[in-house]
Amino acid sequence: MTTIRLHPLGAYPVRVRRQRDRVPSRSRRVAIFASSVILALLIGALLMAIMRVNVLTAYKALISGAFGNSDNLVATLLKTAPLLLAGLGVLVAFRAGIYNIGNQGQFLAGALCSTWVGLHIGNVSGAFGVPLMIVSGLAGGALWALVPALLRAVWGINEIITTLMFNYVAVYSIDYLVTGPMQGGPLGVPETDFLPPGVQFPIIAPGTQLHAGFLLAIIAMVLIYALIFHTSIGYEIRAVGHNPRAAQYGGVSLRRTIVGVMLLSGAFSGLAGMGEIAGVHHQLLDGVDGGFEYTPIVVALLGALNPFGVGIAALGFAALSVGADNMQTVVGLPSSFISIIQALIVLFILAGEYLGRLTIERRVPTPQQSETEDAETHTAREVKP
Amino acid sequence: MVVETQPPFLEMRGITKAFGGILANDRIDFDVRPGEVHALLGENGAGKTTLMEILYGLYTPDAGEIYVEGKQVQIHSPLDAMRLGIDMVHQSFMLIPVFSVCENIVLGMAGRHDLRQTAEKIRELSQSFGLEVDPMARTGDLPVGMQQRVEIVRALYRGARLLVLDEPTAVLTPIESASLMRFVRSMALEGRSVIIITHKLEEALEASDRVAVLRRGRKVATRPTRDTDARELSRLMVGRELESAIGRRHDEGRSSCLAVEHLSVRGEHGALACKDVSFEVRCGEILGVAGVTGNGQSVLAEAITGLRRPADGRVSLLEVDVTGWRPRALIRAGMAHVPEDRKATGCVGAFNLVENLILGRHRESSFAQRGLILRRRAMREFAERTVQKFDIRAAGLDTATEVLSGGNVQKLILARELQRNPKLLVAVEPTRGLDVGAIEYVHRTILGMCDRGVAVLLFSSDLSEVFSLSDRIAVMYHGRLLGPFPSTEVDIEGIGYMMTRGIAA
Repeated sequence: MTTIRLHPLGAYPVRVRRQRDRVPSRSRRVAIFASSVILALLIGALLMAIMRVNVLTAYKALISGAFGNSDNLVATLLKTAPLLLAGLGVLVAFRAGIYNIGNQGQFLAGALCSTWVGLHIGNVSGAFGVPLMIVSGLAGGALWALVPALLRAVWGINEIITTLMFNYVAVYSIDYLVTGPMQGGPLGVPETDFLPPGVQFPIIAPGTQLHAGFLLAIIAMVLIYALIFHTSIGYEIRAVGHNPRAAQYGGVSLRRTIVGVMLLSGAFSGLAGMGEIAGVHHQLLDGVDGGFEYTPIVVALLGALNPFGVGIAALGFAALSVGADNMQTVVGLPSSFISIIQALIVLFILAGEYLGRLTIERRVPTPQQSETEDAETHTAREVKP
Repeated sequence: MVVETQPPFLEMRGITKAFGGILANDRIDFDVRPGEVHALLGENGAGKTTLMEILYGLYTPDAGEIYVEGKQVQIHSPLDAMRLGIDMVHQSFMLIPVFSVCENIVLGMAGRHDLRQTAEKIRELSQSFGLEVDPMARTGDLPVGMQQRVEIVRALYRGARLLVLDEPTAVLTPIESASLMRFVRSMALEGRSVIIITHKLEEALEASDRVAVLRRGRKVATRPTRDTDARELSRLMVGRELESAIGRRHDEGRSSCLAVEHLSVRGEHGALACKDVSFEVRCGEILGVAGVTGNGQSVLAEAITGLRRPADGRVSLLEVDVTGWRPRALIRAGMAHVPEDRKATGCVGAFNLVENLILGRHRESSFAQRGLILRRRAMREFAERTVQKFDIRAAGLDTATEVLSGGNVQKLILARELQRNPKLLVAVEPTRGLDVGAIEYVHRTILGMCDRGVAVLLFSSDLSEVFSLSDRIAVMYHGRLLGPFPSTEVDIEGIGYMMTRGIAA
């Protein structure tokens, strides 16, 4: 072992400076992410200790609940799929600087549209049924985003407000439909009839509930990656997001981009909603959105608006919420406890983004200066004939 | 004027400052005597502004000492600097537009202020230095030249004994510049000192007693102004001899490229900022449009390049009516545009060099298969060639464009627009804020395009630029166009007069 000589920072005048334009490097971002998760879990542990819960047992239950056996793993993956799809929808819009926060409404519209299509023209074989459902989910979500998109593109009306309001319209419309016109099955239960088998998603892992919707989410992730980084459309989306004026100068139509991006964003949220209908519930019912609300937005941002990052974030959030159920059974901690940990992760990452822009300056002569000096005298000598 | 044996008012010794491994200031020694006008000359990025911001307390030096009147001082903030009688007028003004001049001047000063008394004092002070300003005017309503006066008067009001002016004439008309130089003289006569940061040789030669030249963070020389000349200074500044002034030859009788007829355009606030403008640019010709910033040039340029819809009139490009066409169609029709604000309009700062070099061509088949799938390798090869050919200096092709210097961003934009083989180039303030080396480069590029038959419409508030490049010259004044006149029939004074009065002298 060598002795490490500590260099006390306090021995020199220190100045902390915030560099406003500095973007944290990739390695720094990963470090921020990892330490945020660890810190959140540590604080969670502290809270558990206060509540006299065995911390190790609880976390073990959390992990095994999410990944412990194939059933649990499947449950986690099933929850990942809609989060990922809706998160990708959010990503597309945010990349263009369009703040579509109506993912919940668009999710429900996709669910509604695919249910209606499934119930009315769903007596087809699986080979037609699956594409039919995909198209109806995409269309439903896109339609729900159409009005806010046009309002924004033509009159410049803030899409944050309109998409938010459209969420409420969707939630209460579904409430009405499943208790009224579309109500089916036992009287008084807020749900529709079951879909015919031809439009139900096939199971991809025999013996489990893992359905084709999960595959769909993975394919969508790769497609969105290709779209954003390998096509001229993605190029335009990113250009508009970074600098709309320069994009316009470069021949990009802002209106067309805004409308296109909103429709695409809505379509992917709609796809998420459709997946829950065709793959999990096989009927439309109250609370079909699984209480996600704004989680896809958090997932998209935590994934740094990178499709694969969004995939990881969706998996993480799904694992936490699925594992929490097991934690509740094993140590009796309410499963909503996990919301605290999720919120803490978000807060720490936000704080980390800020801290990542700080640099600490020490006012000591840096060795670099003397090095450059040496280098210069060297070259000077060499130049002489 | 200056007694050379006098002890310096300010002395900076061995000032060193590094930013992320790059030495912005490398052991700089610098001094200013009382009653002296000292020009600090250097290209952009030479370290002039850094050195002065250290003096003003905005940066702490890594090494070095500062002495004021022989005593060593520590300057940690602008407040410290002001207490020592040092004040600075920045390139971008630090004024609050909705405040009156008077309010802006007392802003941040301790104690109670009777605004009426203060206004009286400001009036006297400004008159005694020949810098009349109305203390009660709303600052935001004043033209740029006036706002600069407010900044200077504020420094005088605070009792500055050493005033640092950062590129003071960049925003001024010739007449305003002349009056600023008169003020600088009168301030020196009072025994106060002035440092003028500049990259313009004429300015350094005209106004100063001594010139200090910085190059790449080092001070290469200090010369008494009367013992030096433009040739020596430019050599010191650039590190090599610049080629002599660029000449223009006339070329008549070519076909029309751009025709603008009775064009009217609304500005930001809905009022007509450009009224009934007509002119024509022929192929292989440079038409220079001079004017004080804010007289409608930007709006006119935006209307021609498709960023703004005209309210009335007609624009034709190569005999095709292109009125109201969007940028994409205009780009296809052969228009190239070097926009006024190169960082806000001309490129996407967060994009890397490769991505920015294809902006506007990102759907062309050479860069995107069927206009959709980007050909990353072709883009990269194109970028490699272009960066080399146009000598764009960056750490690498994957560097974000926003970290490049202004000169390199401008080279990037020119390179991109030029590689497209355009028929018409609309260049707005193409050399604003660039150093002499880059300016020479931009001018050569524009002239080169013109030689290949490209029509050039040049908007510039720099009269010497307009005169050295243009075949014909027009002036924008309050939204109207005067001229164009053949450049052989007008002189700088005449055009300068039109720029400020709107009529021929």
